[in-house]
Amino acid sequence: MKTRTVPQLIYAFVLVVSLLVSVPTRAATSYSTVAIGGKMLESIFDGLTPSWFAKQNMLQKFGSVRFRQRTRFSLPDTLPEFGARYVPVQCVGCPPTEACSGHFTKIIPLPPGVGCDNPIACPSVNNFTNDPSDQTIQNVGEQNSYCGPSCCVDAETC
Amino acid sequence: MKRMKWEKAVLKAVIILGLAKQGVSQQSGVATGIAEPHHQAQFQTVASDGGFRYWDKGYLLAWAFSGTSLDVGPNTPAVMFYDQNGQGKPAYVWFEGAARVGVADAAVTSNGKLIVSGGTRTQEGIVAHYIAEIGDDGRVKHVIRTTPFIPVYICGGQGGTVWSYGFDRDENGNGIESGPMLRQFSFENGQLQAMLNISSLNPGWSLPEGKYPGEINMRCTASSVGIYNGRSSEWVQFDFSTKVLTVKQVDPLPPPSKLRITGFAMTDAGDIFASFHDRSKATPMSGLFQLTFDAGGNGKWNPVPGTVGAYLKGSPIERLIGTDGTSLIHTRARDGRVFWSKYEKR
Repeated sequence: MKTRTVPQLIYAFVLVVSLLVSVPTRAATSYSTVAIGGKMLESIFDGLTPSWFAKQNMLQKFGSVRFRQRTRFSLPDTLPEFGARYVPVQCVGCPPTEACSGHFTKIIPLPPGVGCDNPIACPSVNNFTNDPSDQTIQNVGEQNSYCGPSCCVDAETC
Repeated sequence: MKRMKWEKAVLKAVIILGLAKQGVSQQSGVATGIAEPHHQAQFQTVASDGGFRYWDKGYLLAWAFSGTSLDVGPNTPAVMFYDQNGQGKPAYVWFEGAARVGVADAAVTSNGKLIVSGGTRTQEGIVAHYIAEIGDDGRVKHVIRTTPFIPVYICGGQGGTVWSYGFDRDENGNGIESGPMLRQFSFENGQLQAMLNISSLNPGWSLPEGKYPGEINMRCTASSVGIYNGRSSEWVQFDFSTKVLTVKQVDPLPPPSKLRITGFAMTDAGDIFASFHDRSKATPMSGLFQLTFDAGGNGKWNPVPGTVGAYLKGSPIERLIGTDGTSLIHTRARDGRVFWSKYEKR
């Protein structure tokens, strides 16, 4: 009896320990991640803190006013938190690889200082909206141009 | 006296030979035309509007067009890559804990692996930037977190490493001007080296991609990585063997309102080509151009004979898609057909 109990206890102990060890503190990823400095990471987000500009309310703010500055030194528009590019969809009548997108585009002049932090160099920055109900502008898209030393983005039709 | 004449003759011959050799070396890579296509294939993504696509080391890479997006989901293809027969495979990029994943660029490494770069964030607003290698199953296999470096463009360097052009961003989201813009990464050790400071360059690097997608281009070959900035009129090249970084001035192009770069390629031989779309005249023009340098290192875009003409109505080049190393891959019309053509040199 005694000789049977000891192995069973050892087996149970080993089983419990192995289960505890194998329970991950977080879901394991199917890929390896290395930081810029070479350190292995469990997650691509390890050790990083939330960025103020990537919080939901700020993203909504950028989206609502189309705060469209895409320089290295200011926040970009599309995918603002990523610094990625926008989609240069070609529209009818424009040459290839135009930074031209959308249809039914209407230009909306913005008041000085709105949409650009440099009202002197860029006194009349335009925004745009899309009006699908107006068939006369079906083939009108929007295209970016830049002004001022901080390269504010000004919308124009194309 | 006789001996002096003989010496002069030898000296003269040496000088002539030297000049001839110099002349040959300057002219050796000058394209004299493109041959009739030796291969063609149909790619629907090339015919469709929008998105990004170019040919890199055996694949046509396409993203941000129908079926893929700049803003991808766990089961939305981030990038499609097609072989030379037009057969496509999707690549998915997603990270555990991510609420959003964006794609900035894609390329193929020297050992044939697809790589994708971009940014990702959590619901709480934690932002990370990445270069990911895609495995055979089409899913992420290895990741380099490049934060605080934002990899705008990537290309495959030597030994499976990745070169990236981009910029640093601080915790407030602002660009860091002093950050090196050209970096080499490995999936084992992260960043290997960094170089190219904006302070040593012409103005025109503040917009990471230029005024329009295509104004700044980056490509890797087996021997070097090169960046052409059409806005600052500079050619930047890092030679892998000599480890020398050179910056050369290039004659400025007309402004984007008149002329746009629609395609770019650097062949294994180091020849640099671009397709231009010129809309400065009543009839839009297109054609293939080659970047050549004079003895002083100044660059100039020269038309490749027989390629410049009315856009879609005479020019055999609608757009340069890339190179397979030796052939130039291009379109003639906007019908999705892609052609492989050798270029002739003198």
